[in-house]
Amino acid sequence: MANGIYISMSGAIAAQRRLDVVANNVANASTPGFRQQRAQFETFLVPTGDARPIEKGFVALSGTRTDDSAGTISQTGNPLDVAIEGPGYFVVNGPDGTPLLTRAGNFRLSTDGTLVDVMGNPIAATGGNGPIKLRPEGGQPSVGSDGSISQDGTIVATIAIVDVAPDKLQAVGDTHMRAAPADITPIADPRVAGGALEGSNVNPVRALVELVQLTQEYQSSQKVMGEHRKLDQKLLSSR
Amino acid sequence: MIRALHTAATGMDAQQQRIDVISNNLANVNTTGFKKQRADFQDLLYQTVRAPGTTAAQGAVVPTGIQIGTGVRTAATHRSFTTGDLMQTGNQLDLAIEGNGFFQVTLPGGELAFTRAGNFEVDQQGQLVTTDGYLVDPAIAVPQGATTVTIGADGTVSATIAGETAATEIGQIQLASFINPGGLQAIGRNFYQPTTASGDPQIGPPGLEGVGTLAQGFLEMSNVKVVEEMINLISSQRAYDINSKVIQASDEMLQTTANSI
Repeated sequence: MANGIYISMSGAIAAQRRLDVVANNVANASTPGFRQQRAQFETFLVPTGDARPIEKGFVALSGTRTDDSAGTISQTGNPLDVAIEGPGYFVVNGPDGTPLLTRAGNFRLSTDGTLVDVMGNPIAATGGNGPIKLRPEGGQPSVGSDGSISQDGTIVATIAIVDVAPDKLQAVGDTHMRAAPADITPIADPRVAGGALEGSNVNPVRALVELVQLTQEYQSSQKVMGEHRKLDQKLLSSR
Repeated sequence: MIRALHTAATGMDAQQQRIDVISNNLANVNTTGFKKQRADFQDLLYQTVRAPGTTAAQGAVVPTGIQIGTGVRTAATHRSFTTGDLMQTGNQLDLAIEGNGFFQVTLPGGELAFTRAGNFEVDQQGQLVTTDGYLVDPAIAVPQGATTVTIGADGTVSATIAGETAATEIGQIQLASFINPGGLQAIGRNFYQPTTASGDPQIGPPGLEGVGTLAQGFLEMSNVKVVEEMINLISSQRAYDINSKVIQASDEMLQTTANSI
């Protein structure tokens, strides 16, 4: 039996995988700091064993790449909302002590005045000198354009911002990403906006176009599979 | 494909929650001292099919792994305690706080609640109460026959009694502040109660560091911005739409398969 039917099946599975990725992007359209993913595919060439080298190509998902283009920044007026303008990530000290990276700048204060993210993980400062602590009884904190956080006119600490190549990032959920320490480089002069929050970089138009495309691909693959089946049936009935 | 269906469902669920939050903000656009909320989303766990940096079959190192996300969830509803616009009412018992403090109110059960709404009244015993009749803490009693009540920026309450020229001091309003007001629990009727996340109230007279000062004859409006909420509503609705399109696409694909077998 011809294995052409398996080639078209690999096409249908690829469309399903792509749908999974698009579904996650679209579900996170309103998640602050979310980075959309793109599915990448590759061809697997299988030699047929004939005298002439004819190869058959199967398709498979080879990787999901994080799109590091910027999301839209909106003003919230909340003093502890921080958005990074340009490249870079905030560093969050995860529960198990490992640093996590995020673009989500919707921070808040914990009971003892530590600057934390939504999950209560402390935000790292430059120089690695522990968490950022603000005085509980002090005035409204404000974030400068260089990432420095000040209270009552004096700078308390500077929020650390680091850079990582997008292909080295691994998403771990909770809008956090992980990277090997060797791949993380600090940014010397980051640009930051206080009182603003970066949304996701999900492009709804692109997502809709992708949905139409992948549905078409899936249906075409199914059609080819149907044709293969008809051929096989003919072969069986002609005997 | 079943995964995409569930992922899109989490997206629709999250947008629905966001619309719930927006509708509560809009419903309270004219509520004195109301503070708007925001739904904060986070992505869910990822299924790592192939980790980046692993070795592929041909010996080459995989530059990008395969990670498939499973959707979104609401991590928190964040309350924004930015100050609302002050409105002059001329009413001598209307108070607005210029700063981060809260008024203290004794609930019928005896426990304290905290509020930004300063539209106070006087009950039949002359005591300063909220519109629900709950006592302001510390209790302040306006004497009978008082013509004017003056409340200073520092919270000092003085009353002028008919026939007298000099005002007599009858008490001082105390304000409370919290290190993390976002951690307060809303109990309705404009009241909040402290939690372990908000920390204990730090009580002091108006004018003390952090709590702010009082403005008599003013009320603090809600900090809801209608235009902002409308924009959020539109973006939420569109996101909901697109998520439903994903469900539609999954359904169509399943149908194609079902019909071809």
